[in-house]
Amino acid sequence: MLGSIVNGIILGSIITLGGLGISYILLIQNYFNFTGGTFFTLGAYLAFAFLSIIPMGSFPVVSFGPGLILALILSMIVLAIIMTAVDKFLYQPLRKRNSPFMFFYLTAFGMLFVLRSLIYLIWGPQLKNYISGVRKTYHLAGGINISPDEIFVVLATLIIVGIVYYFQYYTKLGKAMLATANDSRLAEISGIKNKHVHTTVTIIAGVLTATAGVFYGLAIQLRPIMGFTLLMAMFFAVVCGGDGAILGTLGAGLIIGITQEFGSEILQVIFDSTGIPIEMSGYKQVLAFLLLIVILTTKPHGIFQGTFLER
Amino acid sequence: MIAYIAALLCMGSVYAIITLGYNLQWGYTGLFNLSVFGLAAAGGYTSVILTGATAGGRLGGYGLPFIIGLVGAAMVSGILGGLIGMATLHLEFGFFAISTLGLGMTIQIILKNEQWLSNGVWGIGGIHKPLSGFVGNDLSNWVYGILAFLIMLLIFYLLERVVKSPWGRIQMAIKEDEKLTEMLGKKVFSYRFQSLVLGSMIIGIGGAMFAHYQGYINPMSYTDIMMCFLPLLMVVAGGSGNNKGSIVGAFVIWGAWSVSEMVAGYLPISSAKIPHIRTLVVGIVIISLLRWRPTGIIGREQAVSSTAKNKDIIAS
Amino acid sequence: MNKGEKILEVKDVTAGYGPVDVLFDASIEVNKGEFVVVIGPNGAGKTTLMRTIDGVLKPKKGKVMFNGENITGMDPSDILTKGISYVPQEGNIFTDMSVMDNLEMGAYTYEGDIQERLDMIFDLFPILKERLKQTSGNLSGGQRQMLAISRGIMIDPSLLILDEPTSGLQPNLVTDVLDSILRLQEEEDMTILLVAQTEQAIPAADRGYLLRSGEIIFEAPTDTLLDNDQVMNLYFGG
Repeated sequence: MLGSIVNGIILGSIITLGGLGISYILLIQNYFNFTGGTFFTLGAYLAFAFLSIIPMGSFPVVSFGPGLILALILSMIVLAIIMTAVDKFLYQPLRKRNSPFMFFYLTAFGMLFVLRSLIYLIWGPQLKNYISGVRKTYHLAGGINISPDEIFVVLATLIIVGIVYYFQYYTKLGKAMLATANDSRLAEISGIKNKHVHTTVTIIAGVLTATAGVFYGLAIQLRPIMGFTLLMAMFFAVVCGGDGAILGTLGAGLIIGITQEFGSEILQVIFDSTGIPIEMSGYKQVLAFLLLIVILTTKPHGIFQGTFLER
Repeated sequence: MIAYIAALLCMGSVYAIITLGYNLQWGYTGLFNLSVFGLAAAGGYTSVILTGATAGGRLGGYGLPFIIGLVGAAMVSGILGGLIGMATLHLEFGFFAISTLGLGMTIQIILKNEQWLSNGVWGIGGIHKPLSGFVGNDLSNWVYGILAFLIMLLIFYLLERVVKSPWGRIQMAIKEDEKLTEMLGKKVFSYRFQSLVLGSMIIGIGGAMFAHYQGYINPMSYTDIMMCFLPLLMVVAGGSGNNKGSIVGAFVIWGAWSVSEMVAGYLPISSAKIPHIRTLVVGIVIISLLRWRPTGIIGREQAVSSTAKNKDIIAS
Repeated sequence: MNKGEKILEVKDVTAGYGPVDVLFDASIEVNKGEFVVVIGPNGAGKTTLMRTIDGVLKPKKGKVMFNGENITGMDPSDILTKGISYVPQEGNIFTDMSVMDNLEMGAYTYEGDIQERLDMIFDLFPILKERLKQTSGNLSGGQRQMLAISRGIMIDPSLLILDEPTSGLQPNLVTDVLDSILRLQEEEDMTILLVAQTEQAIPAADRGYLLRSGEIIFEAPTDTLLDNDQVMNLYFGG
């Protein structure tokens, strides 16, 4: 029981970070970039590629070493460059032409397939891991199995969310970005160049997305559709958290992670005891989807509206 | 070669039907529906369940006539479209799109997991073409192709009547300028909803026609690439909001797709990689079209109103 | 009365939106330390003229010179660095952000002491100090206008362009705002270019232009403007 809650928190952390990349773009550029889900996968695989030439090394306690951190940083850089380039060459011209929003979504959709096929072509469909071998696991009371890697992922996520929040609401640059999102023309008149803001957004989104992907690869494993399977959950985190609110994404991310893991376990217990022959393991995404629909219809502005988590 | 033309006739018609349904939602009403692959799958499986012979532990085997299969397919897909519509149609464009994607994924997952319904990943085989009892194997594709083509033409004719009717014109007005249409007293939501349901029904019929042609289907027969992305490309190629264009686009794109499959077979690339290369190419094509030749995608009308939306026009 | 040298020169500017031209061969000048007013009825092209100066709109013909430099069609953020601050008629505050944040954004490119600027602004508009943390979208009309102007003057501009800063305000507030603008001219040595529909702004200014249907039809020192019945008829007439 508790084990699945913990798993939910771990998954929720990854969903939060991946969602935060998308949230950021939604907050400042006003559209939902669902390619975030695929860039997420790309980030994980890029780190994997870098690890083939960087030695892993070792850290105490966790199973990975400085090599993974370096690979992550390189992956962030490459991903940020790719996302910025995509924004500059594909989305910027659309913004300039004042194109209707559907163009952005169509392009994002096209990118989804381009990235997915590239990943299949370059890395193939087999499951991969950053570290081979068995990982150390702590067995705690209540049926909780957790590894130091997973603890790292959760803690790192909380710290990153804190940093992003502080940056966004307490620094000049962060506020300038909010100003651009509020009224881009007035921001330009105030000396805040829209182009710079958009570039900063994609860089930050790239950094967050790469981190989320690597965390997923670390805590779970790498496979080409990993981003796609989390897409519904990330969507939930972003939208139900409050249309791109930073803390809201964290809250909603954790909620959906726990719902997927713990919720499916509870439902399984209920189904088993009442004799309904449904195997919940395949339906985790569906659970996320259903909760998404419920929240979208009942609280379209996010579950945390009016609470301290609404930003 | 002759066999290929028969196949082209069948698959082109099947895709044309799906594209027509999709075009109604996208080209006329401006809805970005990403559940097309799920709706087609639902239609396909429904028809198979209704018309198939006994199934051994699986739901189905009612042995009903083909036409009932099509009707059933339309109804199930229509209902599914309606459900997602009621839940998410009021949302912003992108949120609606993602929600429909979720619907599509859900349908796919249910089909994969529920053995009693769909035989899970093993799929269902032995699907009959209608009239196949009367003709030999060689001709059955031709017969089916002509049947499919005729059904497609019927749907096309009906759709043309619909879009040229006042109902159709209101749809275009909504797509152009939602607020204005609302002020004129037309309930935007119910118009969109009707378009969504009608389009879904047509897509369901297309999915059913697909199943009967293939003879065997499994949940992955209706992938998002084949059954969502390709129809989108077909609508785009034909010019959104243009029914004739959808038909032409369907045949042309399917022709290109199947030819590329044959060509790729001769290239020294491992067969596992080929589908991904083709997807890659298709993705690049769509992105390039959007970047450099966007008019094919939105259809002629929107190009005018987007300048009107520019608030600078309001002189001070 | 012309004080100081010419700092802004708009010469024969024709501008519009898409195929529609709104401004025809318009020319105005502003000298250092002056308070110049451009009056015109609705649709005359006043905002178009301001937008052209600030680079929000690129003119089809003509040029804009500031301190001898050709700034025609430059980006607004670059024009800001030259010392021109524009307070638009609409979209002039960041409604989702607090009063303090708005002021901070106004000072985004400012390299001097921000506290000094804040002190000056609080002296001018004390109410803003009380409402520092409030979301600016919730302010009253008059307070929003004060904030809009304050945002514009945080960077201590050489030229402040105000587009109808008193529109929609109650008469007593109009007087207050105009008085504050006058104080800016006198105490802060700011050059002011103000655009308005009503003639209420004329007495405060030094010189005025009349704009009608996209054309400058008259220019004179304000006392001449006010005294001249013929001119007033010209403005109200037709």
